[in-house]
Amino acid sequence: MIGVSGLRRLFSGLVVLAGLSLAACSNPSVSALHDPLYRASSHVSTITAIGSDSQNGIDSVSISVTAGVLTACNNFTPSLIPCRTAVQSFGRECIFSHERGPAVCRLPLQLGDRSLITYTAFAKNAQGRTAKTTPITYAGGAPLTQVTLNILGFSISLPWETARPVWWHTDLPVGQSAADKIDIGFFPDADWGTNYQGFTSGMQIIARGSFFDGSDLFSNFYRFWKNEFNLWAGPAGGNGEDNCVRGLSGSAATVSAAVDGKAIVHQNAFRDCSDIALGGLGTSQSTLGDAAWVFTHESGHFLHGLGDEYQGGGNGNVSDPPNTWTSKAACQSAAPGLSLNASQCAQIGTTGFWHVDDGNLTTMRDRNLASDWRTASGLALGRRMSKCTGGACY
Amino acid sequence: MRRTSRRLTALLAGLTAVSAFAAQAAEPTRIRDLPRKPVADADDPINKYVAQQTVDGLVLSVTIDGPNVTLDQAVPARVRKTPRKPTGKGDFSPVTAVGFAGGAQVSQVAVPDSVIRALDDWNTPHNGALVRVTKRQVVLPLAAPRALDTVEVTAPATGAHARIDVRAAYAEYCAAGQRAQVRENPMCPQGGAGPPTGQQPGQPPTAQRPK
Repeated sequence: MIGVSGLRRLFSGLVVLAGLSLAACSNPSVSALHDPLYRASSHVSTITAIGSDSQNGIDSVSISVTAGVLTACNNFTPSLIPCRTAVQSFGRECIFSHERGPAVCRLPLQLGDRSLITYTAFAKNAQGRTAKTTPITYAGGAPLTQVTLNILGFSISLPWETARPVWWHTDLPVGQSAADKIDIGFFPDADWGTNYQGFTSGMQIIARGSFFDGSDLFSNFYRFWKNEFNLWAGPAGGNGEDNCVRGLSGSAATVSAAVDGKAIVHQNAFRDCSDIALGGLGTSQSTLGDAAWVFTHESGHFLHGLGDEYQGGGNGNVSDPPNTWTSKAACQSAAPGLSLNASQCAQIGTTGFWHVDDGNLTTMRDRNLASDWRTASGLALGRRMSKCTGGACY
Repeated sequence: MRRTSRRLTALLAGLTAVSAFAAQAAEPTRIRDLPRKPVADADDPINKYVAQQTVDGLVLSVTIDGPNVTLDQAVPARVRKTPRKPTGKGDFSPVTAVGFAGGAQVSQVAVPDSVIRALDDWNTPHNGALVRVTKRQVVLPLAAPRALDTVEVTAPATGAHARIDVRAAYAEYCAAGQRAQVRENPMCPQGGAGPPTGQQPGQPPTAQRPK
C-alpha cells in the first residue's frame, strides 16, 4: 500500500519528470517583420527575425528571401495582384550559442523601383528543432505604372497599377490551394495631395498599431490573428469628406476589386464613415493619437458588419451574430443562444437599439485603448476567423 | 510572515531582472550571407500563387443612384478566381452583376452593397449617426475568360437594375488584334446582347481604362 505522503512524492516526481521532458522537448518560436511596411520610393528595408527558446536556447536564426521585379503578369488581361520577374533567392544566417534570450537576425535590403520581396524566417534551437514563419511578400520602390501585354501575336501597352502588397501571405502548399485571408486595402485620401509618402507613413502607424505593435487590449485580437489578414496599399484616387461622401476613382477603384475591405486614410479631420458591411469601404484618420484604435473600430463596421454600441453612432448591423437588436425582447431572445447573459441586455442610450453589455470596455462603444471586442462583437469576430481558417472568410 | 514576504519580494525582483534581461535582444556571434541564385519565373511561388488564384476578368465601377445605374469605368483585369458569396436582406442585399457574351451568360458575381453606413465623429462625441444613402459606388469584379459585351447589374436595396454595354472596355484589344490580323480574338467582343438600359439614350458607352 502507498500512503498519502507516498502519493505526494510520486505526484511531485511526476511533475518534475513532466517538467524535464517539456524542457527537453521544447520547440523554438520565430517571428519576423519588415520595416518600413511599405514605401513607394527607393529605400532600405530591414527584415528583422526574432527566434526564442528560453529552455534550450537558440543556435541560429535565418532569413530566406526571394526578390525580383514586380509585374502585372502576362495573361490576356493584366493582373491587379502582382507577379514577379528577374527573380533571385538569397538569405542570411545568424549564428548564436544556445541563446536563451530573444535571438535577433536583421537583413537590410536596398529596394529599387518595383521591388517585390518574399521572406521566410527560421529558428533552430540547441537540440536542432526548427520553427519557421509563413512566407510574407511585400513591395517597395516606385510602383508599376504601365504594362505591355504580348498576346495572340500582338502587343498593347496600357497604363496600369497593381495593388501593392504590404503584408501578403503567399504560402502555397504543394498540391493545395492558398489559404483564404481577409484582404484590406489602404488608399490615400485626396487630402494627402501628391504626398504619397505621408500616406504610407500614416498607413504604417495604423497597420503597426493595429496588427503588430504594443500590448493594448484593443489590438489583442488583430495581433493574435494577424496571419489571417493581407494588407495592401492602393494608388491615389481615394476621396473622403464629411457626411459620408467618399469614393475611389480611376486605378484606385479598379485595384479595390482585389480586396475585401477598403480604408481611405486621411490626415485632416472629418467624421469617419464606414459601410456596415461584410467587406466594404471606410475612412480612417491617421493623424489622431489613437489612429490604430480608430481604424480598428471602423474595421468593425466595414469588415465585420458591426454596429456602433454607443448613442450617436450607427447602431444597425449585418454581423454574424448581430451585435445590436431593435428591441429588448429580441436581445433577450438571442442572448442565451449565444451563451450571453440575457439579463445584460441594455438599451444603447435612448436609441431604441439594444446590446449585451457585460460592463467591460468594448471597441464598438468605448474609445479606449483598453477596450476589447466584447459579448456579441467578440463572437462575430471569432466566427469570421473560424470561416477564414475553414477556407472562406466571406 | 515577514520572512515570507521578503522572500517573495526577492523572488519577484529576480524574476523582473530575468525578464528584463530576456527582453534584451541578443546579437549573433557570426553572420553568414547566402549567395544569390537565379529562380526561373515559372518556379517563383508568387507567379504560381497568382496563376492559381486569379482568372481573366472585367472590373466594373458603377454608380448606383436609387433605381439608376451608371457605368463609371470597365477595365479588363485578372480577378479573384473564387468570388466572395455575400448574403443579406433588404438594405443589406448584395449587388449582383451577370456578364454576357453573344447572349450567353459567362459569369456572375455579387458584392456587398453600401447603402447603410456608420458615421463616427471622433472630434465631437455623439455627433455621428446611422446613415442610409441611395447614391453609392460599387465595384464589381467579373470573371471573363472571353470578352463580355453586356453586364446586367441588379441592386435590390434601391430597386436598381440595368443592362450595360461594356464593349468599349476592349477597344484597344480589338484594335491591336485587327492591326495584327488576328482572326479569332477572344479579347474582342463578338456581338451584343441588345441595347443597354443603364445609360441615357444617345450616350456612348463610358467604359474606359484606369486613368
